[in-house]
Amino acid sequence: MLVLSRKRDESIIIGDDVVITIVDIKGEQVKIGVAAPKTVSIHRKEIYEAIQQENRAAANTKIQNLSGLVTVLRKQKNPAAESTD
Amino acid sequence: MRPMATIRPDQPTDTIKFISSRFGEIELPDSEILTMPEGLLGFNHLKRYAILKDPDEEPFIWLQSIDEADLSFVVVDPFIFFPGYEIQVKTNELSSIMLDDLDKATVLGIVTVPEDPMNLTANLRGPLVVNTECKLAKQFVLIDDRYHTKHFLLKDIPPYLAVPPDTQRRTIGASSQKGSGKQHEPLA
Repeated sequence: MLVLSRKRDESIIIGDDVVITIVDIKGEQVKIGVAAPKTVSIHRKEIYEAIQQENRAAANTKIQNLSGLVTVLRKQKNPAAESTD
Repeated sequence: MRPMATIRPDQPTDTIKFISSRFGEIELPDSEILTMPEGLLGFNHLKRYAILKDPDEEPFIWLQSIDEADLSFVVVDPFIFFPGYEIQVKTNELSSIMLDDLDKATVLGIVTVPEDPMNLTANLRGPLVVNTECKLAKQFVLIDDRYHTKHFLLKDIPPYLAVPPDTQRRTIGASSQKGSGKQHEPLA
């Protein structure tokens, strides 16, 4: 990994069109500004990874049939519905 | 398992055949194939999906990968369970799925069904936004910290689940419009 030292208001440029600027530094927190083309998505990494991880968990659904679950829901909500099944 | 739309016999159309480990061989018209140019996060190489509905399983819907038989997701209209759900995305982010307005989109939440299915959750932080006209979709990452990846769906079971199945579809359509005052067309 390339490591660069930057002060407040200094920037780095990645490729031709992504500019990262140190906007503010307060104690342990750094505010970073990112200027990039509209087509580039920018996310906090932990959120991005959480969604990746959740997608993988969702992809591993073992359940074969959801109608059973739907039936359970209906009964739980309205016990009287049981007699109509 | 029924595809989203039925093929009218008087309209010859190109179809695509694919295999789903869950549902077997499926044939759908090309026009029903959902394309995600960027794929789902963690599955970026898989771009083509089919939406499969079974009335017995509504409000749950299956999102089946066309290119990976083993890969399918359960998705749901999040506004049914979370009427106050709000999505904010930049207009320019919508352009990748040829939309200029979120109101014209259908939103889906990916559902995780754990070992105990009653603990199923929806990912409200990374919703799927679908352009139903062009059949283009994208998974967005919201910046809104109110939402995370595991919202329990069954803490408060929505009243419509108590109605008989034959009246359910209309109810789903009606309740799906509640979300943040936006109109969300049902996919069917």
